[in-house]
Order: sequence, then structure tokens, then C-alpha cells
Amino acid sequence: MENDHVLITEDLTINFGGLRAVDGVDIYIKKGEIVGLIGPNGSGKSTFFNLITGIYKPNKGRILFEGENIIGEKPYQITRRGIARTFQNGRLFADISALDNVIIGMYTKQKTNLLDTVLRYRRVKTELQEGAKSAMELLAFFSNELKDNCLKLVVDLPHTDRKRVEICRALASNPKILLLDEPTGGMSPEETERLMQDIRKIKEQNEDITIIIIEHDMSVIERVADSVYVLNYGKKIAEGPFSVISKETKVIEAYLGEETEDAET
Amino acid sequence: MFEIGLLIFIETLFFVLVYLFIILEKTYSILGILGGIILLSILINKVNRLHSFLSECFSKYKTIAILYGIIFILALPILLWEYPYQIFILFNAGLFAILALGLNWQIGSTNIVNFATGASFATGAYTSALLSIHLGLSFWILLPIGGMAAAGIGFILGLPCMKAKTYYLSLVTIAFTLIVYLLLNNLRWTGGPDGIADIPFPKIVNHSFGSPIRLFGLEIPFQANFYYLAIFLVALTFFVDKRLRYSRIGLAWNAIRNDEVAAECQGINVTYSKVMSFSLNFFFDGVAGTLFAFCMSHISPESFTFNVSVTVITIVIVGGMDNAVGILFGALLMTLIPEKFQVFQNYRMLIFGFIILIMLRLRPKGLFPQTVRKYD
Amino acid sequence: MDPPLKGNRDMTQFIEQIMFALMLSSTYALIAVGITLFFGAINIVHFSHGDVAMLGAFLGIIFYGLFGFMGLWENIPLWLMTMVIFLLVFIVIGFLGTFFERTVIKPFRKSPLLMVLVATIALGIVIRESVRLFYPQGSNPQVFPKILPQVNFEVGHLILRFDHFIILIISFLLIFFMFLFINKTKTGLAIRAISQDIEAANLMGINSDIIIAITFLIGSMLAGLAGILIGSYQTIVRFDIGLMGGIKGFSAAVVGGLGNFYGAIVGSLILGFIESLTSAYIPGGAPYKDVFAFIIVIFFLVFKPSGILGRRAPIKI
Repeated sequence: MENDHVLITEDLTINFGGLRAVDGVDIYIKKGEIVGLIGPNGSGKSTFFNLITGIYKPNKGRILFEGENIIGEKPYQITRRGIARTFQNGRLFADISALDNVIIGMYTKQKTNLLDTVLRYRRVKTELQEGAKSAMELLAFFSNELKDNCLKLVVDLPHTDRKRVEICRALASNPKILLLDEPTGGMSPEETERLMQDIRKIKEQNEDITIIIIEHDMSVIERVADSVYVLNYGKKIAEGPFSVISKETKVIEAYLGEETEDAET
Repeated sequence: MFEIGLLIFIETLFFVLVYLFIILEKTYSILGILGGIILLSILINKVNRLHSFLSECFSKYKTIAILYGIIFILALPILLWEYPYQIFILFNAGLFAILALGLNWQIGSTNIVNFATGASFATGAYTSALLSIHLGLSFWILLPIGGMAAAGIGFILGLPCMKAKTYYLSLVTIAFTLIVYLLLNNLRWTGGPDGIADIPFPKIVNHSFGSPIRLFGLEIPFQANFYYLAIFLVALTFFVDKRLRYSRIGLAWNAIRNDEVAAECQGINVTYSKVMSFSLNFFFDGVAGTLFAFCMSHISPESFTFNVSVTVITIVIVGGMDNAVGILFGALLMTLIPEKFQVFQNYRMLIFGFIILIMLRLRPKGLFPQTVRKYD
Repeated sequence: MDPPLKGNRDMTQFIEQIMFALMLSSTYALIAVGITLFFGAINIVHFSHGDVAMLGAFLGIIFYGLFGFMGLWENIPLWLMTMVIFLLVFIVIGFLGTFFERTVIKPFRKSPLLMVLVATIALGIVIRESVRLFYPQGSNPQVFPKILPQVNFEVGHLILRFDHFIILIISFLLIFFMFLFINKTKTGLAIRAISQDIEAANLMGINSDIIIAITFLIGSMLAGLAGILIGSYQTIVRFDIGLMGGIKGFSAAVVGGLGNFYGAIVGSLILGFIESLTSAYIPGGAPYKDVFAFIIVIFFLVFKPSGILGRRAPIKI
């Protein structure tokens, strides 16, 4: 069973002081799936991402990526294995250009080192120029305007473009698993629709890529996700296709228990 | 053709002003020249048509402009053949330029506030001085050795501290500088407060750096030897900086500067990158230290205090974080101006302190902020 | 700065060493507590806090000389004058420290950490250089007046110095009052609230700006007094004692756990003891006592960066 599951977590748990942010979560994700991760605010979704990417170390449990336990590995090692992510609050490198940001995303695919930089610079130059070309293609994938503005500093870009740049940066490393943390945050319905199409396009281009999306906008999850996991207070309370879990009482209660503008579809 | 002529004219004007600034003694004349330079810069900046016109000329004939500048720099000691002290000041500016360019890799790129430049500078100087006196090694071998000794210290210092937060690290660098000064002053084999004397002048093909250069029938003071070597090393450091900037390493540093966590999530080994910037910075500091020791032929702990670190940091803050050309200007400014206004020599550190505070408030990115990388 | 007695491990001398170490630690604690408080409140390390203490010492010298010049010593007993000087320095430095915060630290509150760091270091440079340049003979060591009684008193076989004892008592009292203030008063509660979550505190109606100013007021007051006390037992002060002093205060705070009040005290004890014992019992070690302190700090940074007592809950990402 572990062979076609690209990511498995078993009894994943982490405490912060007295708070169990993630509590015994079991997740089985197959290669190529688009998985939704939903739940009210504070239910542990982003923490879950932080655990998978090695930013936090769990108190209990295992995380198996392609069958290997990656607990204890540092984030850069996990990225090199092929897991890339975006952040809820958008953590781009603000004072350099959008293009530079995406090129940095290719860090794990690049090979030159200090010696090359000082003595064999031609290799470095070629590597960067090719990187720049690929980066611009990635950006163009989302919009040509973005590609034309790629030399703008990130801090000068509008919100939606920044989200796109972050996704490009994550895609630049050609990851096996892409973690998107609230990608439509702050977007209008049109922009959200656009992003959904872009996510579908990504999937078409890379058949093998697995995507996990944290979202509050249920319309996105409904239309894009193959299966959904629901968290509440750090625990997994439901899993399955959206049509099924959206009708479960537990899930509805979890969302009604807190005030959000769009708790349901 | 006209454009080339205009470019050369403006550059010549600038060079003449700088030359006059260097050689004139009277305060009024110096102030006048300084005023002239500032006026010229403001004029070029504010009058938009002039500004864009000059920028165009510059980009079209970049090679010529730069070549002309290089000729001026190389010819300077010849023009200053009657002013040995002034050549020495320029040599000093070169040393500080190397120190500042190296420090920039840490501050401007990875946001690590390193106040240990005084100590790394000292390591290079004392290591090469001691090896020269006790083992008789040649200056040319000692240059890289001094660098590597300092880099080694940087590595040892940096490695355990990399896990620590920025402010811890700054504390450690300050304490380190003070401790090194303390040790240099107290240990017997470093010569204590008297330091190390009688360091021999370097030699190149029978020409000793201690003797003047005979050119065009003129006797150019021996300081010029060191000046040329310094310029060469500055160029080397500048060259390395440019390559680092346009490389995976430089990009990683900028990523770390902005957001360490996000940087690590791109696959960057943050600790490794930081230690590398530490070591590279210290290496060049050590090289500069070696050059310094062999020029002065006598070193004492007084030249390696916390003040050195402060001066270099001021240069980086004023010149521009992550902008090599800005830093070169900053180095020139911070060395020349205090020298020219001797009255203020005693107030130098106080003024630097104020300059730092003012710059941080008004123009934190420095006079010349970082330029965007272009990949064509 | 030199402990009263060096050399062999005679028991009485050992106890006298302990006294000295305690006194040293208590003066460091006065500075460390300020640094840790500031860090707790605004997440900023105030690198020039030691220099504020130095100003206290110099101000003490100035007041002493001023009173002498005004011919007050003939009419008023020493102990009263001393207390007046203490009080004056306490107040003046308190406000001076707050002034520094308002002008140099507050403008950078929203800026990246790097800038505040460099700004506080630059402030320290300005303070030190100002004293060096504008105080008469500023670059030379200054004699600190003997304002504490220079008598010894005996407890059994021990001969203890009265002035060390007074310093210890005063520091202890100040820290104790600080502790009471933080834990038992409304303002203290506000300070603790801000150090937990400044935005929540603001929403609760706490004027965080004023509270921060108050935090700096009391922290600087303690530092100013620390300056006088250190001047009293060292008898010689220089314009740059604030640099190393600030580093030691910071080290003590870090070792104990930055942001943790008790940690500052624990850290100061550790640092003070290591410093005085190494310089007393390691032959030829006296000039290098700062090196030992430095090594301890590195040790903690590498193996236990959160300090002995640690700080509050980890920051969420």
C-alpha cells in the first residue's frame, strides 16, 4: 500500500506548551491526487504543513515520503526530496525582483558551487541564464503581463501577482508534492476562478504532481480536489470526497462553531 | 562623437575636482572643492534631461568611460608624485574598500551584523607579521595565508553561532573584537602593546616596495607601490563580488536576508550559506590585514580596535547595502574626508555614530541602493 | 575591579571572595534586568544600555564635585549627600534613558531588526565619544569619589568590606522592588501583558507606547544606579566601561534566558562568580577574566540558546 502513496502521516502529533496543535493525524495521499485540507481557523492546517516541510518537529508519529520517514530532516533536505510549498501570508523575498524569486526556487536543481563561481564562472552564468529563461516561461504560464513585469521588485507587485510568483517559485523546483496554503486568500471571485484554472493547467502539464491545498473557499475545494481531509482542533474529523464530507454533521458543526463569512458553499 | 566628448569632459571635470580635493590644504579651498563636487552631482541628478542624456551616453560608451576611469586611477600616483602622504591615504581607502566589500556580503546580503572586522583584520596582519619575522616567509605567500588564517577564525567563530539569532551573533562579534584586542595587548608573543616591528618590505623582481618608482624621470614615492597593489586587490575583490552576486550563492544570500525560513524551504542550507559569507568576508579582511602590516612595517593593537569595525560598517551603510560601486565611493569618502578636515579627526567616531543614525533614518538602503539583476 | 584578595584557598579568603562575587553579580543584575525587560517588552536588544550605566557613574562624579564646589560638604553629613546623589542620578539617568528610547529606538520600531541593532550600537558610540570628547580629560580614567564608608567590619574570622556590603544590599533591594513592581502593580501587569502580546494588550486598552516608556524609565534608573555602585567599588571609571559592561549585562541576560526576569538574576550570578573566581584563583588570569565570561556565553549560545530558564512559548510561524 505504501508504494502508490507518495505521502503518509501516521499519528502525527505536536504540542505547543499545553496546546495540541496537531493531534494524531493519519493521512494517506496517492501520487497525482489533488487533496483539499480544510477546517476552521486554528485547526492545525498550516501547522500540519510546517510539520511536513520540517519546520517543526513532531512530538509523536511518522511522516513517510515515498516510503521513507522524513522526521528530523531539515526543511532544505525535505525540499530537495521534492516537496515545495507556499505560505499563507506569502513569504516572498521582497526586496529582489520577481524573476530572482523564481530563480531561487530552482536552487535544488542547480549545481554550481563557490569554486565554480570564482574560477569557472561561465558555468554559473549559463546556469543562471537558463534558469532565468525557465523562470520567465513559468511566469508566462500564469500571465504574459507577469512575465513582462518580472524585473519588478516583489514589494512593488500587486497582491494577486505576488501569490502567483510564490506558486511559480514553488513550481520552479519541479516538486513531486506541491503544498498550497490558502492560495486564494485575498482574491476576488474572478481571480479565484482564474487560479483554479491555473491549478488545473498545472496538473495537466505535470501528471505526476501531487497537490495539497489548504483553503477556506469551499468552491475551490469542491471543483478541484479529488479528496478532502477535515481538521478540527488538530484532529482529523472527516475524510473523503467533498460531496460526502460536506454533508457530515461533524464537519458542519465544526464550521458553525466559529464565525466565518463563507463557512459553507 | 560629441557624446564621447561630453562624457570625457564631465569625467575630466570630476577627476580634476577630486585631484584638487586630495592635494589642497587650506580648509576653504577644500570646502570649495567639496561644494563643487556636490553641486555637480546634484546638477546631474536634478536636471532630468542632463541626467538621462548622460545615462544614455554612459551605457553606450561604457567601456570608454570605464577605461578612462582606470587610466586616471593608475595615473594618480604619478600626478601625486610630490604628495607621498596623500598616496598613503588613498592606499588606506583601498584597504577599507576591501574590508567593506567583504563585510557587505554579510550585512548587505545576509543581514548579519558583523562587528568583528577589527579582529579579522588583526588576524591577517598579526599572522603574516609573525610568520614573516619568525619563519621568514615571503609576503606573496603570506597574502593568501593571512587570508586563510582569518577565514579559519571566521569559520570557528561562525559555526557555533549560526544557530543563534541575529542579535546574539552581533553581541558575539563585538565581544570577539574586544577580546582579540585584549589578547593582542596582553600576550607576550604578540608583542603586547608594542606590537610587532621590523616587518620587511615586499619585493617583486628586485624592486623593493620600500623604494620609490622611477618613471618618466620622476621619482614616485614608495607608497605608490602599495597603492597599486591595493588597487589590484580592490579590483579583485570587486570582481569576486560581482560574480558572487550573479550566482546561486548571491541569490541564496539575498533570500536569507529577506526570510530565512522561506529560504530554507527553497532548499538552501542556511547555516552553510551564512558560514560561507562569514569565511569569505574574513578571508578578504585577512588579506587586507597582511597588506596593511607590510606597508606599515610595524603593527600594534591600537590599529585593530572596535573603531575599525565601526568605520567599515559606516562605509557599508552609507555606500549602499549590496551595491559594490556605492561601497567604493563610501570607502573613498570615509577615508578622504576625515583626513582632509584634520580638525575633526578627534571627532571622527562621534560623527560616524551620527552619520549611521541619520542614514538609518533617512536612507537605510544607503546612498546607492541595490540594483536589480538583469540576465541578458 | 580587582577582588580584594588573591592567592591561596584559605577559607576566610574564600568567603570574602564569595562576598565580592555576590556584589559583582548584583551590579551586573541591575543592568541585565533592564536589558531583559526591554527585550521582553519590545523584542529589541538595547546594546547601549551599558553606556547608560556609565553615564550614571560620570553623573555621580559630577554631582559630587558640584556639591563640593557649592561648599555643601561642610554642612551636611556624607550619608545624606550620598543618598541625594543616588536619588538624583536615579532620576536623571532614568529620564535620559527614556529620552534615548524615544529618539533612537522608537522610530525604528517597525523597521527590520538589523536597523534597530545598528542604531542602538551607534547610540552607544555617540554616548561614549561624547563623554570622551566633552568631559574634561574624558579619555583618561576618572577617579570615582569615595561616597560609601570605607570601613571593614568583622564577622567571626572574616573581614568584610562595608561598602561592598552596602552595594549588595542596595542592589538587592532595588531588584526586589523591581520584582514587586512587575508582579504586584497594575503597571507591572501592563508590562507583562505587552511582553506576551503587544497587540492584544493594545486592544485591551493598554497604551503600549507609554508602558514602553515606563519600562525604559525604570530600566534606565537601575542602570544609572548600577553605574554609581560600580564606580564605588572600582574607584576608577573610564568612558568605555559601558561597552564591556553592556556586553556582560547582555551576556548575563542571555545565559539566564532573554526576556526572563529571574533568568537575568541567575545569569548575573553565574557570570559574576565565574569572573571573580577565575581572576582570584587562576594565576595570571586576572587580565583574561573577560575572556572566560565570553567563552561561557558562546557555550550557552551553542548548546542552550534559550538560556537556563528559557523564555516564554515558542513563536509560531
